Amino acid sequence: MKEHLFQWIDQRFEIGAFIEFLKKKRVPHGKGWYWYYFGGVALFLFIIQVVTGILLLLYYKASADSAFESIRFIMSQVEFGWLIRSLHTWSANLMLLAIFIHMFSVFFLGAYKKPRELTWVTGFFLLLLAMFFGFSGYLLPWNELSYFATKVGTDIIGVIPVVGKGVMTLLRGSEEVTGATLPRFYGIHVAVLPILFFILLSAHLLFIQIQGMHEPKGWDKLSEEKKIYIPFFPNFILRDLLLWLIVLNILAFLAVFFPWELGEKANLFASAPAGIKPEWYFMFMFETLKFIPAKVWVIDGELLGILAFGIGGLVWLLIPFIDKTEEGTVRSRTVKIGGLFVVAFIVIMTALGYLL
Amino acid sequence: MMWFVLFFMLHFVFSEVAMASDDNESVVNECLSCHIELDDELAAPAELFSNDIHFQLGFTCADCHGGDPTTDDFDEAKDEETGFIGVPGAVDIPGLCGECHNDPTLMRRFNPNIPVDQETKYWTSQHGISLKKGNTSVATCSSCHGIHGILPKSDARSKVYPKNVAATCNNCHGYKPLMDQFGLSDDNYEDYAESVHGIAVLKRGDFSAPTCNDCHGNHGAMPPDAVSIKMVCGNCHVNNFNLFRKSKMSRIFEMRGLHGCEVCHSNHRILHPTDEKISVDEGGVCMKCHRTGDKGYTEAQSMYSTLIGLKKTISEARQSVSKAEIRGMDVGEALFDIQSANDALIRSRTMIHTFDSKEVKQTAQPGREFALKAKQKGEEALLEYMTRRVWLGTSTFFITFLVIVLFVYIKKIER
Repeated sequence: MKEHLFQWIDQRFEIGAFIEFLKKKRVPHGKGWYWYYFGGVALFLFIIQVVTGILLLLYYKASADSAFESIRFIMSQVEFGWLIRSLHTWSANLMLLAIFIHMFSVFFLGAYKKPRELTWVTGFFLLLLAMFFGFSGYLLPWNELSYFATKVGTDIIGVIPVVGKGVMTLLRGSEEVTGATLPRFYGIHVAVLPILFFILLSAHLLFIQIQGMHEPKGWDKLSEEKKIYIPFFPNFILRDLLLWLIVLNILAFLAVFFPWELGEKANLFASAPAGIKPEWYFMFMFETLKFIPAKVWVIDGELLGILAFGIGGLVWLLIPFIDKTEEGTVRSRTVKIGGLFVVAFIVIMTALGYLL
Repeated sequence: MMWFVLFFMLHFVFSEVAMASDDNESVVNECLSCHIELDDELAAPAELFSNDIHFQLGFTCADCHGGDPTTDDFDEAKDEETGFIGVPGAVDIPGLCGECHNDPTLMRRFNPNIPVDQETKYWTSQHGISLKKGNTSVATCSSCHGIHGILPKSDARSKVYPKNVAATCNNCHGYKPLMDQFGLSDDNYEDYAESVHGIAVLKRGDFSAPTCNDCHGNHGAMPPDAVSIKMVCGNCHVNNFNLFRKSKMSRIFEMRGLHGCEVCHSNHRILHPTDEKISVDEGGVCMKCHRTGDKGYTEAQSMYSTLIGLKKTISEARQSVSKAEIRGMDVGEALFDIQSANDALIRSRTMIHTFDSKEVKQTAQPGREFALKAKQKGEEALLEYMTRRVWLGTSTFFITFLVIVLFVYIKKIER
């Protein structure tokens, strides 16, 4: 029966070839192999995002009059609604953490270098999209914190020369963050970003599939016998699954013990509550802008900060095209030190953002 | 002829505007020019008058004192023929102010809504009656409004600005030798300042609370009598007033000459009422008149236990909801129920003024139901919280088991 079913499908879709390919596919298993799994963790969390997001869509109402109430309804009236919302929010945060770890591990392993430049570029844009996912989703509960955080966030966008004001108004739907902003963020969050993310993610995975996984440092000098590989199926997949289950456990723990609070409904006429902070993944930029003086020579401090981050981001995006050093050389180590500096900067500024 | 009529009309129009104009620079007032140069005592009125609302509106010293303000010659300015009266006596002040303030045509130019019955009211007030009898130590217009530096009541510096009224009255009513003459107490200000009304007006600047003139009247100031006091309080406390008026207690109070609200709440020293006020123990006011075991005693005891019972149920509900809330559970609906229970408690307290324990109980009942519902929701939320933990434990155990199995399997196939 099983044989018969397989043949029926194989005659139509030629899956035999695909299974053969899977059987032969191998993954390098050298020093630092564990870093390879964070991309998979990010993907797993993204899948949770999609599933829980679709479930939330069944009850969420995107208007200033009913958004907050609908989330409250989800959390208190809908069966397991509290769990779905908490999983959605926590998995979003963990996904960003996994993407950051994945990106820096790729950087320090030198995996972005030729021929994987475009994998890096698509990954970089996936990070930006994930951050924008977080930013747009943060407003949707329409509570006090999310309202003012969006106001501060979009204010910063407005500082960008030439296009800033236009983009800010386009995002807000008016000069200020109002009830008109909510449906825009909702549309971006559930339609625009998923399409873009799906396209980029497909490209990212396709590139990895075509080029195979990056081989660890020094493997090019090893003989074939000394290179250790593990089969992609089932070994690598099972290892992935193992880690996903651990992440699922962590996620369930966080959702139950630290449920995401709803807070107070946004009041457009109230003054901003003290200590408004952005989400943790924007914190290093927010904190840096606070440290820059209001005026640096003739340039507005905030504008200078945004320009610096813009240039920094551009350099980071183009790193595979800039850094053509060979792994293990002095110049390659200098690039790595630069990367360490970036990590230290992000960690310190984020910590200061919460401590000060 | 037509040109003449036109000229006359224009002249009329513009002369009217000039009189009513704020611009007082065109008004000749030589009195000020001289007085400002004189000794302190004589210069003070001139200095004060430059801030006075009357000066701002174009009135001169002569409008009250008579005399000719257009000349700088002392004798000519104060000539008898000019109607110069000098410093008016206390008895003359109400009439002097009334010359303008009683005139609706004149007053309309400055404020169409301004009352013009102040003098009439004044003569009906205790101050006016005493003044008519020749007692010149009582308050007249200038005692409250000032003499030469009269400011509109909306000006925070004015002596009759709501926040300053109590202090203005206290200038006389806090002066013991003067109050002794009339057999009045001199500690009303201190009592008022500690009252809920005084704290609202004097400390918080909340002018929706009353100051002296809101209860006693201003120009027609009188102590409210037994019948009118409930009307006075009822101006703001409408529900309490309506309930009290319909109660049998109201008629008994009137018959016995008791001052309605004041009997339980005091007059100037009205403190925030507590539920203990209707208890039959210490601190209760009912026992001032009632005796242990009589009908009033039973009613008071019943009303008190209803309020205390509802308060206790609300407190238990709040504790239950709070326990769930600090554990991160969403208790928004239970909080709404507590709010509704609180509203019922407030309404029940108001119903005390019916002096009918059944009415109080009936009003409190929905509050009790809301509080019990909230308590139940809090308990359910706590239970849900525990259930989630049990769940988590089960799912964690299951997932961990899978992790171990998978780990062993991977080790096995990679051996």
